[in-house]
Amino acid sequence: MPASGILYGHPVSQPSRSVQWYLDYSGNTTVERKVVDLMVGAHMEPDYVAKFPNHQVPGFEMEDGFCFAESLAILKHVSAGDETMQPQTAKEEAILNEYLGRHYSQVRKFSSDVFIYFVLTKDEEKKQAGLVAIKPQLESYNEKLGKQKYILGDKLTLADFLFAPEVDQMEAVGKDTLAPYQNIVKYLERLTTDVKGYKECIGGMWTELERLNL
Amino acid sequence: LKLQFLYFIGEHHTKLNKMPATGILYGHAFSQPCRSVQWYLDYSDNTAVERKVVDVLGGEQKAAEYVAKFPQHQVPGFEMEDGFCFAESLAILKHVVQGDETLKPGCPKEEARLNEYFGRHYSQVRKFSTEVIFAHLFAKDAEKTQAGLVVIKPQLESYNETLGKQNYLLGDKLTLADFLFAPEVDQLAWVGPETLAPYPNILKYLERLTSDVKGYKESFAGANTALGL
Repeated sequence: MPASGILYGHPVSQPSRSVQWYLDYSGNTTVERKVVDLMVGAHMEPDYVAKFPNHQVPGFEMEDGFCFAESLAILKHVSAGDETMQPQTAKEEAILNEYLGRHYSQVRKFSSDVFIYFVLTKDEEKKQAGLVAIKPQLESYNEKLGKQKYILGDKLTLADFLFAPEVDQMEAVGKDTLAPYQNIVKYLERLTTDVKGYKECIGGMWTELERLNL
Repeated sequence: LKLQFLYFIGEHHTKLNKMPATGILYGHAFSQPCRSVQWYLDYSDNTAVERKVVDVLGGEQKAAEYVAKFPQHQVPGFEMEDGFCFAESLAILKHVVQGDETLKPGCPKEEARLNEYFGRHYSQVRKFSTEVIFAHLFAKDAEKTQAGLVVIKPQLESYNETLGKQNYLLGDKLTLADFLFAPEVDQLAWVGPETLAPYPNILKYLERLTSDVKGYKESFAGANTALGL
């Protein structure tokens, strides 16, 4: 059975986009989606905090009201029945879990710093410092993506659903931010043409950024 | 009836044949993520995984031979029997725990809570605790250490509250979350004996681990010894 429940998220939030994209990719229509307007502080409202005490997005509510957060946890939950997303061997599982560890401590850590400075604080100096900090990561993934189609090899995995929304938002920071990383640019183009739901995932982000005049 | 009996024997035999993990763990006794894995191996009486010390204080993680296996020169690193290598404590823990039914989530909700913690571990607990430890032990920067303790305070307050109501991080059952969390938090005591005093439930939790959970006492003692503390 496809996953059911309620996903709380925001179209600009990278981890929300990861989950929303997977739901579109898998053709899931049984998870209801609710937008939490972060820009007006809806994630701090008592109703929301009662469900998600860390006032994070994305958040997921199971049908019986059980709530949990973190994109990793939600992605794994909603993809539990999808054999194509389950590692088939101990090595595939190790590689995926290795990426999941690095996603938070490396990719997301640096990309969200850059994006927050761009969106929220408009701190140019910190933004530039963030772009310097993320450079080794982007160089490393750029090299990998010159040799394989997706982040972990030639097969789409949950790692791509987490990685792409963190990296594509670099373009929102500045038009040529990803220009030095042409393999990443081609990877994102591949996702746009070949992977269901990705075009809408990034389109939704741009629409929301325009609406917010950012 | 015969088919049911044969099915039962098959299932029972399969469970008995869940072999402990084998391979090589590369690590260091004071590295928090290394301690997570080493503790689990001691807890589960695993003697099949060989343990090799990487002298991170002497820069051995940057030696060509190590980098050839682990290009990001991280510890812990794990090498499977056929030479396949990978890093990240989360990945290694999940690999070595595969045959252990007691640490597997029993239902989707338990699995969701565990994965939720994994996300928070890296972005919150470990992120902030390593900043404090590096500032204190290596940079010897008292100001940055104190600033780090201010940043981690909401996390510690939150887990202190949680641990006032239950035995372990995610409830009354030991999970992989405890193996990740405890080594990050106990090392804050190195900053000074008063560092964890505002969080008595965390202190009691660490005492519980010391008395009730195999391998934990040796894990913390090993870290102290490795640093000459």
